[in-house]
Amino acid sequence: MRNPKLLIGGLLFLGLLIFALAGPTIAKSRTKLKDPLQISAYTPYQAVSDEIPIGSDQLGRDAMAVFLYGMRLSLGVGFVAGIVGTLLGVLVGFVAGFVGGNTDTILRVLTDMFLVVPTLPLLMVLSISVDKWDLLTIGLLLGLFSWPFVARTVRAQVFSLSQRPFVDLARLNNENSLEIIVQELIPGLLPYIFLSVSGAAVGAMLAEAGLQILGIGSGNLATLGYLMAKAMGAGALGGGFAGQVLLPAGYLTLTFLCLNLINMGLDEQFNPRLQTTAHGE
Amino acid sequence: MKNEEKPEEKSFRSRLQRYRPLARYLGNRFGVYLFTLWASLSLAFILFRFMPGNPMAMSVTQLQSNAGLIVGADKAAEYYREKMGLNEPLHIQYLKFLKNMIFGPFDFGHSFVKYPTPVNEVIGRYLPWTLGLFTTSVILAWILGTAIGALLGWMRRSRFASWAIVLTTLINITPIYVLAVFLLLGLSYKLGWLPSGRPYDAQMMPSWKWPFIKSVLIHAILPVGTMVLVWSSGWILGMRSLMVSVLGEDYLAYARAKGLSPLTILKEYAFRNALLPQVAGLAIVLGMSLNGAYIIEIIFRIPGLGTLFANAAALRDFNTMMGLLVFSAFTVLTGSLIVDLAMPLFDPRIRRSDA
Amino acid sequence: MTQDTPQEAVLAIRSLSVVYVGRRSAAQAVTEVDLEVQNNEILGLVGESGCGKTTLAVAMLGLIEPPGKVIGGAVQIRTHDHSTQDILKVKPSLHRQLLWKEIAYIPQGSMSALNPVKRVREQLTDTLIEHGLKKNEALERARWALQVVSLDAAILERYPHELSGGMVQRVAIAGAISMQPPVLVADEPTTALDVVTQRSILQELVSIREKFGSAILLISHDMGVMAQIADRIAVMYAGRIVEIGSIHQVFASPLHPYTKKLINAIPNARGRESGERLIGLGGESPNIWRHPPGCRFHPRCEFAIERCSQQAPVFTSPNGSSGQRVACHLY
Repeated sequence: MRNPKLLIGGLLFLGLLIFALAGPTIAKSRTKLKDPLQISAYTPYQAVSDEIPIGSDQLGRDAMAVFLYGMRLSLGVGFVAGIVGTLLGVLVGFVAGFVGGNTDTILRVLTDMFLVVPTLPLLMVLSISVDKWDLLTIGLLLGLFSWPFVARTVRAQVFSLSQRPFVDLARLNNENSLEIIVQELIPGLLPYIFLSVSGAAVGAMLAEAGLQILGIGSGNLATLGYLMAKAMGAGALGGGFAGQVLLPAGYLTLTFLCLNLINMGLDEQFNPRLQTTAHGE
Repeated sequence: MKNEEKPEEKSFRSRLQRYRPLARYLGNRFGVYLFTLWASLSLAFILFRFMPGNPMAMSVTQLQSNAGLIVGADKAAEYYREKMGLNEPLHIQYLKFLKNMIFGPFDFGHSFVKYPTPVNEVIGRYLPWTLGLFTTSVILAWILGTAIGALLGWMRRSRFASWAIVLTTLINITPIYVLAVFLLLGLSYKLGWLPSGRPYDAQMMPSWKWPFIKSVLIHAILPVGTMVLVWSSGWILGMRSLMVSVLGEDYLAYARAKGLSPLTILKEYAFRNALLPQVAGLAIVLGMSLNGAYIIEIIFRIPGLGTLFANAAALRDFNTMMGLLVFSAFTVLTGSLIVDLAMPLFDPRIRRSDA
Repeated sequence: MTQDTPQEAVLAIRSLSVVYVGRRSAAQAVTEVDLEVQNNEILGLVGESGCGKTTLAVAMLGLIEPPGKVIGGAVQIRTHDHSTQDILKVKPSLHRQLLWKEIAYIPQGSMSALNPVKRVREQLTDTLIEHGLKKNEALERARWALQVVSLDAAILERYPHELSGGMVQRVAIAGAISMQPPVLVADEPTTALDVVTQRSILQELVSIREKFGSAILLISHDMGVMAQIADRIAVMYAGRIVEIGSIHQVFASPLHPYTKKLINAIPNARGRESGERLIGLGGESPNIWRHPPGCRFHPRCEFAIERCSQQAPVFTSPNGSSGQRVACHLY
């Protein structure tokens, strides 16, 4: 792990993660209220003061507390969606790349379709019919839409890996397909699977905040996107509540930056094509 | 005579033969287009009939539950039920739906909220804003990004280029709404250089007169600027790495050995080849770009399809939502079809081959 | 051909050294190479892959790019108007004019040698026009050049992907001779081709030499190719020329142990009747980032003596002034 991008990205992300997990504790420690998220503790959009450094939200809650609790939720949505999307994508990509033939063609058309069609309208339609708006449901829903990119990369990788001589050798040795997959292909795919989890997570967190801005979402799941969207809708930018937008936006952007750094680092570490050029040969 | 004509005819036929790959490519692309369109329509149908809570039925139930409160709501519900064909068997509903889509065309019935205005007409009212801002931004971003990326790739060893790439990467990973917020806050609220929060001056009435157009253009700077900034960063990064890899190709080394001027090499050898994947990429990102455009509309309060979508979702206007869903898919698919059909103009390998 | 004075050589490379600059060290790709090519002569440059042949070719065209760097030497060419120019010192605009007009490069004829999105016509005429021809002159010249290499003029309207490997190679040769430069540099012109096409391309090079009296520097890893058409041969190992002589001298009495190994590695060249087995080169290929001290070949050399690992050998002519020279401590 000498890769500086991987190191910096990883450490910074770890910091953000700890901050998110400690959020509720921090929130509790800095207020006299029993429940830091108590509704109508203040008047809605009450001016910034020492007690409420970025003001209160539309429900009269301390917006800072909402932010501190929200980090965890946003990361959670990304995590669930990342896992779901990756599982789906790996499955589709794997089957397409390994089986090949007509299966591959059909799956590829399907993947391309999901890539090309705008997903936000589809998500909007789906999410207004969600009656229980919680972390798992939303993560699952977003995960359903983040698999095509994963599928594409995995397919390409499986395809190129399965063309390598060692897989032919395994086939000649009469090992069955599943054994080949497990023994020969999975190790080569691991870095790409790591890559796709964080890629899908970023996509899902982006989409979640996007949905919130489009007015879909619920106070049940007060993510950073929710805080941001509500504040923006209430004219927070011009009205002296910019912190309610900038703080969550900053946190999200920083998270994306870290995940991207990690991805770039992983790519440099494991992509053989990049490796040779890095040595200047 | 016949003997003289024969080779002539043969060469004509063989010339036609040479374009068979083109015909196959175009046929293939069009086939996939029709299939994807059909699949999207069917998906929309299925979504609105089967998803948890069945919105089509739900809206009727909503009306029915109001039966006691609103005079005539009962009747209205029955009218809708009949009108939407909810009493009929499913396959008939599906066929009718397809018929309305194809021959309507895109007949989604009436908007619930703006009853009795047809959904088509409502969409038509909001469409120009989206089409204008979105198309302008996509094209501008592509042109700018491709040009800047090509230059950065060309001067790949300069210090300036590597710093520019770092900056571009930063912009690229910033979510579009975050950038919008920063620009809005900085240029509009803090500095007051640009107007915001509405599509044109509040005192004006829409018309084709210059003052109004001017007002629209000035108000469009921020939203369009945001979209161009974010999207072009992606094109810059893509084009730069394409250029770098093309610059390593054998034909570039050969071009230099021929003693061609750097300008010719840049234009005719490096740029022309790096351009191909950039064009192909345009077909893929349209959908994702439209997602961003909808969000931008909300942030900048532009009365486009994104705003209409958000309103329809808030008021559970399912007919309008369905119309928007289908229309978004149709717009993006058609856009990428046009790009795909233009590909042979750029790449002779698709255009023709020696059979 | 007897020993010429330097002025008469149409291409003279003098003590040329090229390095690749890495982060911590520099790799010696080409070290103090001296070569002369006369009019109407085919000089073969042979060596295994990675020995610096291609770097040398790129360097003599003055086209080394970072991280590569020419750290010394000169490449003098005698031009059409009998002046002598050093390719490495002229200003860029003149440099571009010298390329193609005075010294032309024939790349390996794989598909990737030609710009995939341009017709053959455009790829030939753009260069001719930038070298001062009018548009119709350029087209006329391109037609003529294709005819010289026995290609139909209809090829002009084709795209590279519509040509076979042999055709691409001929197009490349046609381009190189279109301005009848005194010097041609052919880098592995037959590597990508099948045996039959290989032979016809080599014949093409011979007939071009006969028609135009060009000097041809032929670069190849294949001793067999050399044996077919080269007049003289220079053997390169790990960035240095280790032996140079006429084709007969080198094949009949190779001096350097490396040359001997190369010749023994040719299938059917010698061992066929005696039933000898094919002998591989053995040992590791040289690593340009870490050359051994002294003679760079000594770790793989079975005749190595103590001096070989301490002191780099200089050129000697052990067989008198016959023109065959070798850099080896054994002589």
